[in-house]
Amino acid sequence: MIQAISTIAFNAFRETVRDKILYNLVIFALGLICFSLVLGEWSVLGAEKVIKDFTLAVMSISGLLMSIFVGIGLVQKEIQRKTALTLLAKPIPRWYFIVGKYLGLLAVLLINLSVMTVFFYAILWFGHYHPDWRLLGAIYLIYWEMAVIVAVALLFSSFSTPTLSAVFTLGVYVAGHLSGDILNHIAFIKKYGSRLPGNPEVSPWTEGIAKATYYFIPNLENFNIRGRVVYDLPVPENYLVLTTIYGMSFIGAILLITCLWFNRRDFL
Amino acid sequence: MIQISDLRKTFKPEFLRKPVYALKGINLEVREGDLFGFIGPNGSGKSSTIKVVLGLLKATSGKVMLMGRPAGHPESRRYVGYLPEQPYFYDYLTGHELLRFYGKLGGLRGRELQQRIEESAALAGADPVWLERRLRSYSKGMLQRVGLAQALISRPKAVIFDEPMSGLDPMGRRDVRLLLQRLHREGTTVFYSTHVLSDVEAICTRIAMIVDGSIRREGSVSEVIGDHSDGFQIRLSQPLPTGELPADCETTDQFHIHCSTAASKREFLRFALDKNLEIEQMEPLRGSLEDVLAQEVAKV
Repeated sequence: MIQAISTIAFNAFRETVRDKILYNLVIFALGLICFSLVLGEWSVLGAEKVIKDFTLAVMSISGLLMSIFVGIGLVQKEIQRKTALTLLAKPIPRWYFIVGKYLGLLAVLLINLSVMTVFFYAILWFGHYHPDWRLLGAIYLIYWEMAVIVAVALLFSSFSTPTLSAVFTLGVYVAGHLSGDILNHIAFIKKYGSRLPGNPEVSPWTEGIAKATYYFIPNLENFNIRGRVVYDLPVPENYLVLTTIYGMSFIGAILLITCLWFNRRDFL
Repeated sequence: MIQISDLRKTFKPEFLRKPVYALKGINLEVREGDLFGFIGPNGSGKSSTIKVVLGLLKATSGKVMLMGRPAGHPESRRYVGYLPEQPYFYDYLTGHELLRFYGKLGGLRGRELQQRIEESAALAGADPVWLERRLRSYSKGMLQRVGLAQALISRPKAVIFDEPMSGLDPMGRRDVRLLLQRLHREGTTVFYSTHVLSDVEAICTRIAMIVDGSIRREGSVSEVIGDHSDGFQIRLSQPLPTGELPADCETTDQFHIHCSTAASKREFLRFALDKNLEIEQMEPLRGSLEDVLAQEVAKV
């Protein structure tokens, strides 16, 4: 089992590494990180905080783009080009394919994020800024957020077209970041709506959808401690461990659904 | 090796379109040691049947066994090599990397893996020099050879090839035909679909003909062609003397006699003995698989 999964993972890694789109994204991200130096100089705030904040945001967005474009392509290309036929005719269960692809892409993301992290720290070091080790905590959670997004991208790409998969995954990303805020907003309106101008109310449907989104879509804001790290705010004890467990639980559930779905599908 | 009973496969299309009944109760058996040809027109259900056997498609109903296990079970494919129709492979890999990849998925490793890569490549006629090149630079024939090599890499007991000669030039087709015969000689069960009926007639021990999702004929080539017998052709080494021929026998020229039934052929042999005629050659005149296939297609 381990040999087969690692073989598929290594092949997915090799496929991605040999793909030009990845290099374009990495070079673009490194370029933006360099641009943070300029932004820092322009900013009325402290240059160091702007560089750190902007670079972490670039890492997050470039990780998101890689997760969506590469993650969706990995399974879709296999199905569309029919390379999956030969692979799935080998004596392996189908879930090896999904898990192998997932692990391969995680390895790619890890290396990309590592390259950007080294670049980031090099800029901070040579710019005589303070290369705070707490930044690694924020980057670590960016990685886990991307791990969740890759799982979501795989899920959608196992039954949908590449374009729809990208739209759905992006939708989950946006909803995952906003669901907590929306629920708080609803709670606020329910509590204080009668005192507000126009007496706004929340319909049961709206509340139901907001709650369903909150509970069934991973709350991606949990993975965002960038502001706290950059502005030296405290991060709760064991936060990284608990958030990792939260991310792993969602990843496990999403991959399970993906494998079950993938196991049912026909390969024409 | 492969047992298929009452296999049905229905594709349910999107929205309000009608369902497509791809396989309509197929019964088929491929026995150990067979060189089995699976023939039929385009869209008749050959590839669908093969994909159900390999677990790539789920049967709507029916029972399909591969190597003694239900189709779809990974272990049923342990000793089976598969070449899909018009195979596509990872074009960012070299031929060698591709074979290594599939070999590892088949459970091979280390020295055994390297040895099997070399053996299967040689068997499929894949040149070690171009195996070091990326697959995106390969011609159709080269891809087909790499495809055959990956199917053979785990030294399978049975191979399933879906139109292995499709798109190949005459030499490529000949090489594939020779490979099929060699595999069969060495004890590998071969099950392949094809449109090249002359090859099927020449090399297959058994065949099945599928038309419109149903098996119409199954058996040896002579059994399938069976009732399409067109009598016997006899060639004499000397001109036929004038005189009366047995019933149902007629001359086509001075040296050739056509007997339309087995009984008339026996009569003619007695006649030839009486007349002291030397027979140079005698052969049954069969209809071709093409004729039988055309007849079955016409029934749809």
